[in-house]
Amino acid sequence: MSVASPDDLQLVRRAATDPEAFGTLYERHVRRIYSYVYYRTGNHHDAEDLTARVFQRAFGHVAEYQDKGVPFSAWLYRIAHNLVANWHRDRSRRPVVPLEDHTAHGEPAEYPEAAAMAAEERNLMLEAVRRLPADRQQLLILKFVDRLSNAEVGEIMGRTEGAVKSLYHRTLTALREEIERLAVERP
Amino acid sequence: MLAWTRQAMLGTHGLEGLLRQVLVPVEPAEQFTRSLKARLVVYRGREAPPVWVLVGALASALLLAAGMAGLVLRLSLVLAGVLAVSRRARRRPGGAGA
Repeated sequence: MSVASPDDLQLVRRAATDPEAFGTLYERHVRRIYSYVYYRTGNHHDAEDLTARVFQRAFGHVAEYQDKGVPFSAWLYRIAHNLVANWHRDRSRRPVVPLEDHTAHGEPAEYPEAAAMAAEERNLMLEAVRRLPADRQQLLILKFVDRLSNAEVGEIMGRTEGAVKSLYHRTLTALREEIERLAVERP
Repeated sequence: MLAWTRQAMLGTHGLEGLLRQVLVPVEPAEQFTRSLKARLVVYRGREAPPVWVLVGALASALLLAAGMAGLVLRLSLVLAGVLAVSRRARRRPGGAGA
């Protein structure tokens, strides 16, 4: 995480009047936000749309940003989290969406059968993750995609490090149950 | 049963290993990141106007164009009328042109 945030903070202060400063902040964070949104929506089209909205909203409100000891990235993640929640609500569906496998665009496999099996297993795991409640999905994405520590995840989710640790263990248990359920549904 | 499913049932480490393999960063398309940056930096974050604004603007432009056309037509009619009156005045005996 770019908690080496004195730089971020200086840029945030300048960004209210200097779009170039916001451009630098954008370059630093766009990939993480995109990954986060992608895993929460399950497709690139909506990930692009929501990522654009995250940064447009951030740009519009950057002058109101207050340094409360929470990194700028946490502020962006919260915007992303709220927009994704609205997206799911608007679509009136559970956050289980058709999977658009980002691994499917790789080179042709030497052993197509094994590759197909691996892809199926990945899809199963992703589907199990997407069946979890939103906060648990967020936790897994922040920990595994963004490789954040429990303390950093806590800053983003507004929880203590201990609470994140506890939520993480409950999440793994729930994920295991979902995988078992899916394995039964798809023998 | 799939091999991963079995592995996931092994324990926390197995499950974490699977998550590490599946949840990997996803890169956005280069064209998307460039165009979004341009929108933010060059156009200062302005979003495309909503459809109703575009429809309103188009309708206003059409009304304005129709109004202008009407005005031009009226002015040319007035001008033609003035010219006709002045010509008639010139042709009349004892008029200005006689």
